[in-house]
Parts: sequence; structure tokens; C-alpha cells
Amino acid sequence: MSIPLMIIGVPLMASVVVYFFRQWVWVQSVLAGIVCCLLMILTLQAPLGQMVVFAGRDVLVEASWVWLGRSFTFTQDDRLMLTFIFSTALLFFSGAPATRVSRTFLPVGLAILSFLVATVLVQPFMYAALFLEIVAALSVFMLSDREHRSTQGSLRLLLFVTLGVSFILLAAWQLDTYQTNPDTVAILRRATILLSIGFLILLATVPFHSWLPTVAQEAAPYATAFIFSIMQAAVFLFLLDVFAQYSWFKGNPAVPTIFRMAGLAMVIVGGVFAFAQRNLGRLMGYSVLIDCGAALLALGVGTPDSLRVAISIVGLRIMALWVWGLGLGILSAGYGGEFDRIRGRARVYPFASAAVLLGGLSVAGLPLMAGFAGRWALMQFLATHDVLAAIMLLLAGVSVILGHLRGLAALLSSSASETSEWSVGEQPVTIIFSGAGALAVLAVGVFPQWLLPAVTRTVDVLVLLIG
Amino acid sequence: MLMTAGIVVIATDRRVLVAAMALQYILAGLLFSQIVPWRVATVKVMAGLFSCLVLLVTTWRSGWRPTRRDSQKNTDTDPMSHDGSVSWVPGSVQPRLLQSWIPLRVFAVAMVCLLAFHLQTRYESPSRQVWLPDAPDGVIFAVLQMVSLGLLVLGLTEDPLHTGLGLLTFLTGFGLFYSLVEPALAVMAILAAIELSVALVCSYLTIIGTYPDDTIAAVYP
Repeated sequence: MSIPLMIIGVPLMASVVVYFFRQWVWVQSVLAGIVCCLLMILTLQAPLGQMVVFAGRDVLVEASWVWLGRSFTFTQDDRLMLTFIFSTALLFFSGAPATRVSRTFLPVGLAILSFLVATVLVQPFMYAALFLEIVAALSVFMLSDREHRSTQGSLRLLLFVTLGVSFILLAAWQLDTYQTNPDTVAILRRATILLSIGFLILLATVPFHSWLPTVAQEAAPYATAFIFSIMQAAVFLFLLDVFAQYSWFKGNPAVPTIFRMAGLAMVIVGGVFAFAQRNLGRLMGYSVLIDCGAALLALGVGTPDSLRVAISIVGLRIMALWVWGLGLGILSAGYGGEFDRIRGRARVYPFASAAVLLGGLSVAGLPLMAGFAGRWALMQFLATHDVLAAIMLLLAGVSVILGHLRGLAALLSSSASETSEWSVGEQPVTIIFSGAGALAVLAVGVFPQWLLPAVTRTVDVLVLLIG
Repeated sequence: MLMTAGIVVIATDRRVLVAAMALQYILAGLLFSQIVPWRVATVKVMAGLFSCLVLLVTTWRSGWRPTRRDSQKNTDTDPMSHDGSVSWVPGSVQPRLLQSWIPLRVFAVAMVCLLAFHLQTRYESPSRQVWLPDAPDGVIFAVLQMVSLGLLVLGLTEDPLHTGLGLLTFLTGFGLFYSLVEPALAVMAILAAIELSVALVCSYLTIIGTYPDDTIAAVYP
């Protein structure tokens, strides 16, 4: 029994099964949730390299699976990353019935999960880039559908990932060359350049960021939140893996500088454009751009503590995006996210509106929101390392908050054609999930000591791996 | 291959585009066969032709020439991707752009080809060994042509099908190059799978644009 084959194959097979239940999102959601739970248990408990009794027979639990000469290897270090991926997927899959998702969301989500696992397990690990490309291609089926027909965002995502993956693969070739010529330092320099360019493209840094606001505007909000969470987290984990495996890359003083400058550019561009947005989706696109920039700024500081902050920012963003996607999925149904078209919707959908607002403000790093914990820690680092970046990050956060306040004003305003009475238009399940999500965002923000020790322990293990 | 990649940039009729792409896969297969065992090259060609089949079925369903959806009227930047029924605003520069579009594309193709030729000769030796691996005659030139012309297509159009063909051209060139430096079967198989998935994605995006508005309920339960 090969563990890699199981945790790659099971979600892929489950995606086919789940597709047949496309008429019933609840059934899809329960099945997908069960698969995620089983995979999490398997990931955490699998006794690698040991004999176990399965169905009355002794079975060897293998940690490796070889396919066409390349291996997929499951190690102790992978347990944490895979658990993170599965728990993120579980969060999104379980919340799907509470919002508006297309029938392909869960089947495609499970297929994406399968290839994300492959990115973690494949050896040599640089070939993870190939699976990221497949993830990007699959995500198009989730982002674009008959209601969200604009194709620009999806195509841009595919284009930029294709370009980024090409550079990563070229870097892998250079590293292979270096193994046969270990004295040629120039090869490492070229590999560093190629890796940096590849990751800058994959991480949606400026000027490769245009897919973020476009996808957020055009695509279904819940699918957008899922792709933003899972795609950016996967690329970030891939980058951390590169840091862990190649000390020369991490040790090159130019690399942190490159990432810090790229992060600063993302923060500035996001801050400049966020305030002017009149669409909740695009506003979130620029908010995520700023938040990704913040994570890169933290990475660029280059200390173990700043690395903890970077990972925390990426992790905490997922919860906020989930809440935001839940709410906007309901609010924008049939209307889109334009401020002019959602006027007065808070009077009909108060819980969904609260979810959108709290999720958005959390990504913006407003105090008392979940996202503030990471942002505050980063500001403390930047205050001693780079004051200019700290000021820019602060201003960018203010820009996003003002953008959301304008959105709130639109949501609360009453249009002449609609009633000014307040009502609750959401389904009970939406109220439960939106309320729970909003409370979770607030609770982590107000009482970070509840969650942060667990996050810190998790992050510490990752930091230890990276060194 | 220069001709086929050039047609992918310049042509607007989808039948011509898909036929050029299919021919390009066959010609690329001949180059692949100089680098990898002929069985592997055959599989690559078959995967490429299957991608073309997917795109051909899509063009058959969606029309030989792309139609512009109302929702994209203001965002589509590719005048040549529109049928003749588009009514331009009087006095706008669009008709003039439309008239000059084919010469512009021909000129861009010529420039990119010259650039690729320059790059190939510039990196002959000894620095060629740094960025370009040893390769049979003509392979590096074909790679540079396909990669650069593929990128040119991506810069010129936002029509999903045409963009897909540009991406496939780029990926074919890149796959050819990568087979020189990493002829591992797994990598080639995944690259072929990526090409297929790109073809499927672009077909999907083209098809969903053709559905009438009353089909939304069929997607959202």
C-alpha cells in the first residue's frame, strides 16, 4: 500500500464520484468533506515503512511511489504541509452549500487537491512546478462558468503560471547542470536568476499581478477565494521548500532584497488602486495583492521570526478569504460586485454583508480582525528594518479599509426602488456559516492567544525545516 | 514551422488556425524524433493532434470565426477576433486599426523571426553552451521561433481559442527545448498532459461564451 498513491489518487477518484452528484451540493459537500477528513487522518497517522493489518492481511505501508522514473515520496516533514492543504480544502468544501457555487466547484476542487498533493510529494521537488500548471488549468473550470463568462482573468492566470513554470523548469535544468559541474558558480547565479523570476511571476508580483483583480471581479467569489487561498499558499510553500532545500538560494543576499522590493511594489500598487475600486471583487483582488506583498516583505527581512510572520500572514488570510467568499457569493448572485448594483443589499442580506465586510477588513489588517495579528508583527519588524516599507504598508491598509467602507456605504444605502425595511434573506445554513466565520475572524483578532500558540507551534516546525 | 507558427499569429479563420497548429505538431514531431526515441515522439505528436481535435470540435460548435459577446465589447482588445457585423463608432480609430491589423501582424512576425534568428546566431559558441544545450541542426532555431511567436500571439489577442493556440505554440517550443535538457519520460508525459489540459481549458472558455443567458440555472443548483 503506497501512501503517496493513495493521497494523490483518492481525491482524483473522489472528484469523479462527486461529479455524479452535481444536482445535490449538500451530498457533494459531505462526500468531499469525508474525503478530506480521511486524508488528514491518513496523513497524520500513516505508519511509514511499517507492516499493518488491513482487511485481515499484512500490508506494508510504503512511503514512496515511482511513476515513469520519477518518485512521489511521503516523509515526516510533509505531514504538516499536507494537513494544512487538506484542512484548507475541508474548510472550503464544507462551506460550499452555504453559498452559491457552481456544480463543478467540488469535483474540480478535489481534482485540484490531488495535484496540490503531487506538488508536495514529487521528487525532484522542482517538478512541483509542472503540477502547479495543471492546478492553474483546472482552476479555470472553477473560475469561469456560464454565469461568469468573462475569460480574461482565467486566461491571464493560465498565462502567468505557464510563464512562471517555464522559468522554474529552466532553473531545474541549471541545477542539474550544476551537479555535474559543482565548481562553476556561474551556474548557481543563473539558477538564482531563473528561480527568482519564476517565483516572482507565480507569486503575482507587479507587473504579473493583473490576474488577481481581474479574476476577483469576473469569477464566482467563493471559487475566487478558494483559488486565491490554495494557489498562493501552494506557491508560497513551494518557495519555502526551495529555501529549505537550497541553502545557496536562501543565503544569497540578493534574494531577500529581490523579494522585499517585489513585496513593496505589490503593497504600493495595491494601495494606490484599492481605494479607487467600485467593485467588491476587484477590491479584494488588490487587498490580496497587498497581503501577498506583506508576506514577501516579511520573507525579505530574512530572519526566522520574520519567516514565522510570513507564514502566519498566508495562513490567516485563508480564513478571511473563506468568510469573504461565503458572503459575496450570496450578495453578488445575479448582480455582480459593483457598488452601484449592490446598493441596499445589506438590508436584505445582513449576515452575508457582515461576512464580506469582516473578511475584507481582516485581509486589510484592521485591528481586532484575524489578519491584524500577522500584520502587526510585520509592522514591528519593518519599524526596525525598513521604516519606509512600514509606512507604505500602513497606508495601503488604510486604502483598503476606506475602499471597504465605501462598499459598506453602498450596501447600507437604500435605493428608491427597493424597500428600506430590514429583513433576513439568507438561508439558515448561510446564516450559520457566515455568522460562525465572522465570529471566528473577530475572535482570532480579539483573542489571538487562543489560536496563535497553535499557529506558532505549527509555524515553528516549518521554520525548523527551512532553517 | 516558421510558416505554421506565423499563420497562428496572423490568421483569424479558426479552421486555418487549427490546421496550422496540427501541421506544426507534425513538424515538431519530426524534430522530437531527432532528440528522443521515435515512439516517444509519436506519442507527443498524437497528444498534440488530439489537442487539435478538441479545438476543431470547439470551432465547429462555436463558429469558424469568433463572435463578440456584448459583455466583452468594451474589453476585447483584438479587433481581428470580431466578425464583420461589428458596428464601430463613427470617427473611431478602430476601422483604421482593423485595416492595418494584418500588415501589423505580418510585420511583428517578421520582427520576431529576425530576433529569434539573431539570438540563435548570437549564441552560437562558446557562450551557447551556457544558455543553450547541444542540439541537432535547426532545433534551437525552431524552439526560438515557436516560443517567441507563441508569446507574440499571447500579446496580440484575448480570444480564448486564439490565446490557447498561442500557448500551445509556446509550450511546443518549450517542450522541444526541455526534451534536449531533460529527456525524462515523466516530464515529457506531464508536459503533454499540460498541452492537452490547455486545449481543453481554451475549448471550455470558448464554448461557455456561446451559451445563451437562460442556461445559468443549469449550472447553479
